[in-house]
Amino acid sequence: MMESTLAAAPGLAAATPATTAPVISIRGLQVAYREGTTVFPALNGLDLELRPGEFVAVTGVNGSGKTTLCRLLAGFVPEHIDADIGGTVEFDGRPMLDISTSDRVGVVGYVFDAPYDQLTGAARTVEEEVAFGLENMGVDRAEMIRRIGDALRTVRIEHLAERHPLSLSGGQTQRLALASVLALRPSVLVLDEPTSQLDPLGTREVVEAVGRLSRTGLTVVYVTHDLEPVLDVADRCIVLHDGRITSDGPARETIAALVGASTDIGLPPSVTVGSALKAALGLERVPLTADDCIAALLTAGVGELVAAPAATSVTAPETRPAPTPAPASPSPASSIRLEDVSFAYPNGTQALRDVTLDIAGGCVCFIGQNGSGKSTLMRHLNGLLRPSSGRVLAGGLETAERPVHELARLVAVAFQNPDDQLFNRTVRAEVGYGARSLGATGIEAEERVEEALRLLDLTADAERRPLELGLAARKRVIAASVMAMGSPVVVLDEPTSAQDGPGVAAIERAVRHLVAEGRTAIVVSHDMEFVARTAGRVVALHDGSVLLDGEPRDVLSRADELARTSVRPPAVARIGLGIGMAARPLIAAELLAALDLPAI
Amino acid sequence: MWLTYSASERGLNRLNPVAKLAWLVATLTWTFAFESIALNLTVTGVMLALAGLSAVWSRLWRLWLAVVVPFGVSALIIHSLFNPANVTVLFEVLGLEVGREGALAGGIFASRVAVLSSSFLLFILTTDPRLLMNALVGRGFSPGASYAVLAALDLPPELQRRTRSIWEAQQARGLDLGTGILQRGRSFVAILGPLIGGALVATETRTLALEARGFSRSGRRSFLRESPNGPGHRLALRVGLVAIPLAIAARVLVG
Repeated sequence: MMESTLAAAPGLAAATPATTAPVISIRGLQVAYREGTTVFPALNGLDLELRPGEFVAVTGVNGSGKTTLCRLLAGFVPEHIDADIGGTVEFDGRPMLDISTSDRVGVVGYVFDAPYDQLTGAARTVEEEVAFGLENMGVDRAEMIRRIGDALRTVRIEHLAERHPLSLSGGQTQRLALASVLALRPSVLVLDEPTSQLDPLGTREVVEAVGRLSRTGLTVVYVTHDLEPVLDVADRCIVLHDGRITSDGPARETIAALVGASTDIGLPPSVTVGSALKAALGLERVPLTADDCIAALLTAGVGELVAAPAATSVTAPETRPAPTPAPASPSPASSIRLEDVSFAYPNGTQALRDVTLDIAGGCVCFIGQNGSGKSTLMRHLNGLLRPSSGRVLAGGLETAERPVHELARLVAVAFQNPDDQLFNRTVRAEVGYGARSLGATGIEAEERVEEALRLLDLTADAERRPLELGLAARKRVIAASVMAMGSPVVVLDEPTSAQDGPGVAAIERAVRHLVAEGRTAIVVSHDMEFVARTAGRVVALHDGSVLLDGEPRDVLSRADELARTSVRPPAVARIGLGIGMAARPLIAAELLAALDLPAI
Repeated sequence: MWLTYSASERGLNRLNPVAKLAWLVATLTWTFAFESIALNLTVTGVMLALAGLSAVWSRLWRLWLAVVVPFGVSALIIHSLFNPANVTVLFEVLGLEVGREGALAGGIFASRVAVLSSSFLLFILTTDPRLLMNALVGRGFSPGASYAVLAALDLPPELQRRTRSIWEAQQARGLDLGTGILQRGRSFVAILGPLIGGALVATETRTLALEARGFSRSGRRSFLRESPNGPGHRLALRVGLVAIPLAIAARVLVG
């Protein structure tokens, strides 16, 4: 296994106590980007020490400096990305800025958030992709083969060794990127939102793999908006805001302290529940994970707790509205019907099998493992793919008989990669592009654009160039663009990936708005917390077939069946299941209410 | 991915990629050194036979039918009818005179296109780009230049994949190729814009990803897979390398 070989690798000591000398030491770090005469500060007086074997979760809203910190550690700033730098950065006591990026290979490994863009483009197989760095390092061939095998096994893609990298799904590609870096056996591993494209179980697998490596001495810097998967493994948590560290300490204490704080960081619902439990049960520590909450509740005795008087000091910031039901009488134009739809790609891969669905209004979320057929199904809704057998009707029209651009009047789709669509000079023009393509002009069209900009928090950026924005904002631009088209059915593919708390809230707001207008919102998502809060109906796909279809409360409570498609129920549902609640809560407020704990 | 290498052990697939590259250059040098339709057609015939032996014929002929044959035939017709050097009339078609000189020039041009396309396609379809890159680096070429060769070989399928994604995504926002020139122009911008913009974003990430894996690192490199390099391959390389100056010398001497 990878752990043993890593432990034996030069430069990697066994797990080290916190008193060990830091592997990276940062003092008074200032980083600012320059564009003409304008200076954009990114990091502002950062002090940080990273010790061998630490797993450090770094979080903060978009623009807080997380990626700049990562890129500085990897040497990209300032060697490849021009920036003004002040302060000192040392690796093992050596000035780090004196070490070139290429000399940092084997010292600092880096995994990017964009899966495909980080492929070398120089490999025909997964094995060759992993070998690329090792070849550049001049690693002996026998050792290279051993390391490739170890790395692929660690991220559990050894069965894909002979596949072409471009044939992998986003999640598989991300694991390949991680394997490629792990094979180099760095002392410090920097991961910038590495699991934003992975299904929930895939995310857990990657986090656990990295966690195991950190216990062998690897220092891990893990940037994420989604703290839930790292609650069990992170030793330390750092919160960045405006280029400064605003919180830094042991992960559990730091995350618990964020409850009730005025921050835009999206906290896992289990933390909200745990915070309420701590106050109600008089616990010493906040139970952070769903398992912690279950243990606390079972230890206390759930019946006793429900009977106990409510603790008045508890605050639960979960105030989001309940899931979005379908309207009573959706318009016929907003209906989608799939009749025994099967589809096989030319290479023979059977992607859909006898899918029959009726969708009319509301927010319908599609969930399932990477490769379960979600994206293939979405491509059928607007006629990009034609079924091998069966038929798809959008607004009563058979999609196989209509051109895609015509079907866009009925079904507008925002794909996962915004960069496949952005080309206008300004965000406002980009958001209006779809509506203009459909011939919409005049005040009504302009109002739709302004509304979409407002709903998706883009008004302030309306005159900026879309490609200047970060990935999260670029994704919202495309979501706004398809919203503004006015099509009765809007499909959003993974809209919350890469979004911070306010970004997710903006997506939720937009989806609720669509539903309130009587339109159908179809959302593909790996974000079970988003699904729990927003869906009126959930469809789980597995191996191209419908595994589960129904109300979120029903579908998201079936842990065993969901596990077949690599999905875990949302944290609150797991807590409810763990303590045997009949009410099947989905969001923290529901659980706390059911336990007779106040939710403010 | 019809214009990319797919792993095979048949025919030219087994030849050392640098030797193959030398033979490609030699073939093109001979073709352009002499104006001989017979030579060009013979070489083209050999290339097509090698394509059959290398099990890439089925992919090669489709490209040929779709692009090369129409292009070559068009060139032949245009030269035959409209070449200013035409003096000798061979025959008349629909009142148009077919000139001997133009037909010869068109034949040379078309046969050169045939050699160029068949040899180049044969090279692409039978050469593992990664092995080529490794072999070039192993022979002292800079990794950057070798990567550029590899990236160029991989560019068509990559562009094809990206263009298809963009085309699908823009259609989903109502893009219609339409019939008018203005409409087509707008559609072109909607495809080309993301193709370039997305490429810039991707290139930045890829550059950093390559650096993070030691691409610019100096010093000894090793290879997971090495090209075949036995005596036969070395001989093929030498023959190919000698054939290049030989063609130039023959051209100078023969005139």
